[in-house]
Amino acid sequence: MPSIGVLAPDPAERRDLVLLAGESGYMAHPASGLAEALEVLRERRPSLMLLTDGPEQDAEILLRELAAVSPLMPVVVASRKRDAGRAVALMRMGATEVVAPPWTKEDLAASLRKTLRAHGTVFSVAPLKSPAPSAPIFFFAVALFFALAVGYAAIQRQAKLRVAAFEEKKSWDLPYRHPSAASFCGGDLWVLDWFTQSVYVHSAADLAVRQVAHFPGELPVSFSVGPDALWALSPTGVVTRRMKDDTLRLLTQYPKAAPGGVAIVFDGLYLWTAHAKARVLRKHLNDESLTVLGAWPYPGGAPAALVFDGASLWSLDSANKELLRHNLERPDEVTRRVALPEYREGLLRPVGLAWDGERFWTAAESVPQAKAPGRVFKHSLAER
Amino acid sequence: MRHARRSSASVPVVVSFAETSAKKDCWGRLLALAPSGARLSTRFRVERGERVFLSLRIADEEFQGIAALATRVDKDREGYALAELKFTDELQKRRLAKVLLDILST
Repeated sequence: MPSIGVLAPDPAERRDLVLLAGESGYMAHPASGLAEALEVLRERRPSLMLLTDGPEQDAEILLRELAAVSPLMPVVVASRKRDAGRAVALMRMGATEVVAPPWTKEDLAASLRKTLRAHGTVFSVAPLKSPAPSAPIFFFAVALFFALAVGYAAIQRQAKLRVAAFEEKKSWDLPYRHPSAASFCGGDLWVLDWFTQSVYVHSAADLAVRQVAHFPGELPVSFSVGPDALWALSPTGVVTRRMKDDTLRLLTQYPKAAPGGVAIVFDGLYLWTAHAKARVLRKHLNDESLTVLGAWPYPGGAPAALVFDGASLWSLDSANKELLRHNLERPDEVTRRVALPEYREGLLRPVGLAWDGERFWTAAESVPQAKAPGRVFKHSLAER
Repeated sequence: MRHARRSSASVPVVVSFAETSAKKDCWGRLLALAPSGARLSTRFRVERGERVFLSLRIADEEFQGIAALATRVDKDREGYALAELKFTDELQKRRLAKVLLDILST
């Protein structure tokens, strides 16, 4: 415990200061006058002296006398009045610190601690450097923030450009030549290729192939992916219901449910099939034998695919290169025709039709006999 | 000539506040002094952005009311305010520079 001398001629002040110094962790040796203070200096060798004004000798005189005896002794003056001019004058005379009234434990303890580790002033003609250790961290944090902000903005811009480029693009070459059907499922475009007997799952964001699944059993001519299952129609008229897993596991088989059918779609309640040779549309009940509820003449040239957009039944007419919207009550009545100029040149034959919730997509095979890669077109009806 | 030198005792300084402030004059010590600014240690409260005026004496030269702006205020481990002051008066800065050059060149 560091020891300090307390020179306070007034007994009450002396008692208070000794008490406060003791509470602050100092061994305080009281002195009522200069003679006693000199004795304390000699006998106790205190680390510093704390003094106040006396009735006969003010702090300046006491300070001068102490400095004459012990010039290197740090001195703290406890002032009775807050007087900045006098405080600075005392400090110029040699007081290390002047404590302003009221004397509190916090102020006194802080002043005593400060006095014991006092240093001089650094004079400099160069600008002062901030001692704060947090400055490099602050600048690093600011730089990091801006770097992250710029990086994030760049990534966002790239993503926007990618989306914009994708939105502008209307057609894509497929990495296979024989697409035969298409359907949307959970944001992915599923395309069936009859030659490789595989289902290709394309990401709707960039049409990249995300997954390829081999189609087991008899190869279908058409399929429709619903929320729970995949419906497929084979050339012999067999309809199958399969799980949407990696192996497309068979759930139910309906032999000869739709002979001569070329297109199938499930609207959530009924199953619809289109028949090219007979040129009819059929509505099936979703029961054990897919009972036909009705048949209507196809109002177009040659049906190639069917799709349900949530409200209406649409068909792809490959002969007239157009989309037909059918009246659900009387499907032989067309409520809208949308021409597909993408197929006007006759180099491609539309074979698959899908609905992504906003737009139609068609899959096409090149003619004659698939000399070129298959293609996918995106069709926006709002532009027509 | 050296660019910096530490004195044996830190310079005591009277700190005054703007007339619009209700604060009384207080005192402290300069831990560093340059023509551009100073680092002040004081037991009294100084706030960041506050205008202060320093009165001090160095090398027998009296400076009265050096205008300064507290650009940063921290607390040291004793609870003293440690204020970074930026001098704002060009004439006072020039005079300070001259005195400091004298001190550093002797």
